[in-house]
Order: sequence, then C-alpha cells, then structure tokens
Amino acid sequence: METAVAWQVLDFDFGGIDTVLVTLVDGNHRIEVLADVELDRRRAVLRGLHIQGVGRNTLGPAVLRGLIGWAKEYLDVDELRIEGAVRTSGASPGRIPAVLVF
Amino acid sequence: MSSEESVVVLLRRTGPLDKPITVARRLFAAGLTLKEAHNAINKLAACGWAVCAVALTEDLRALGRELGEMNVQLRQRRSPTESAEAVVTMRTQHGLSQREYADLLGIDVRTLQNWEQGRNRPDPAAVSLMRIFAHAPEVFEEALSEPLA
Repeated sequence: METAVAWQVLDFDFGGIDTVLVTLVDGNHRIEVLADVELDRRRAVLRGLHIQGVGRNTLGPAVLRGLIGWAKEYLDVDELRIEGAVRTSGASPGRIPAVLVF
Repeated sequence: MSSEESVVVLLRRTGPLDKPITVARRLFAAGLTLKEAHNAINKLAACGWAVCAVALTEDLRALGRELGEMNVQLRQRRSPTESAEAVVTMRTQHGLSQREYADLLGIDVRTLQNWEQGRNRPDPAAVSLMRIFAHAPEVFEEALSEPLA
C-alpha cells in the first residue's frame, strides 16, 4: 500500500452546492484543485476536475499518486472517481479524459 | 449579484488555457460564484467561449489585460439598443425593402416602420437578431430557413 504524502490544505473555498477550490502544499509542491465534489458514503466523485501546479514536475505521476492516496485518507473514502474536465492544455487539448477510479 | 450590480461579458479562448484555476480565481474575484467560475472555464475549454456576469465595480480593462495574458479575451456585450437610423442602415446595407426585412425578421411591417421612425424601440432580442443578420446573413439564413425539398 502506498504511503500518503503529508499534504495539507492551505486554502479552501466552497462555492455553494458542491464546487470546491483547494490549495494543497507538501513542502516541495503547491497544487490547486478545482472540481465539483460528490461524497457518497465510501466513495467520492470529482467532476470537471482541473488541477494546476506551481513548479517543475509538480504534476508528475509520483506526486499525483501520493496526492490521491492522501485525498482518499483525508476524505475517508475507499474509492476516488475522477471525471476530469475537457483538457485545456498539454497533450490533446479539447479531449475529455477517461474516467479514473482509484 | 443582481443584474443592476453586474455587467454581462463574453469570454473567448485565444490559445491553450495553461492556468485554468488562475482564470477561475480571477473570475471569482470579479464577482462570479465559484460554481459560475468553474462552469465558465469548463465552457471555455469545451466550446472556446463562455458568457458570465461580473461585478459592475470591476475595472474591465484591467480584468481584460489579466485574462488576456492567460489566453482569454474579454469582450463586453454591446448595448442592447439601436437608434432608428441604425435600424434603417442594417436593412438598407443589404438592399432590402421594409417588407422584405420585416418578413425576414418575422415581424409586422408596421412594427419595423415604428422602429425606423423612432416611435418605438426594438427589444434586445430583436436588436440581436438584426445584428446577426447585418453581420452574417448566411448564418441567419441557415438558422432560420430550411430547404423545401
């Protein structure tokens, strides 16, 4: 089992209904996440998710794996389902990414 | 935020949105709710444009500059009114008679005459329709007519 990185919530805005904007830091990285969140018992669904990092390799696979592990613990869920928004940059902008389930 | 406290703007994506959350944060600061800001960047990503209402107190030039640096062009909606002279110009630039123009717009010719003579003003929806026809008659034709066979 992967060890969750010690992320902490730096800033949190709740947009009413279900939209959240969270800034997370772990000492080396700073990441912002914007999504519509639905919590259903042991499952969390993040819809229209945008993620933005500051710094080189902030959004690399290792960091994201650690972040997902931390998020599942933080939200106290067994399943985290990510339905990302249409890609705005990077590879294939305009494409809707596949649903990811962790 | 009521319509008296806000101004409607259009956003157009001019390139990749490398900082979507920074755009959302700026829109949030300009008076949108977080949900509205999230919807706006989703629309920008998917369709290339979005419409939203920002606080009337917002400095639109400064907002436009900041969004422009993030590949989002800010466009202010034109005034929803037109003068009688402008209505005449929009008709005559396409060489249409009052009857032809009224038929195209789907209105009574007397309504058009009232607009052109300044007795009444066209409502915002009619102004939008006339502007679309003036700007892109082929779009108007395609949207509002269909081949019979």
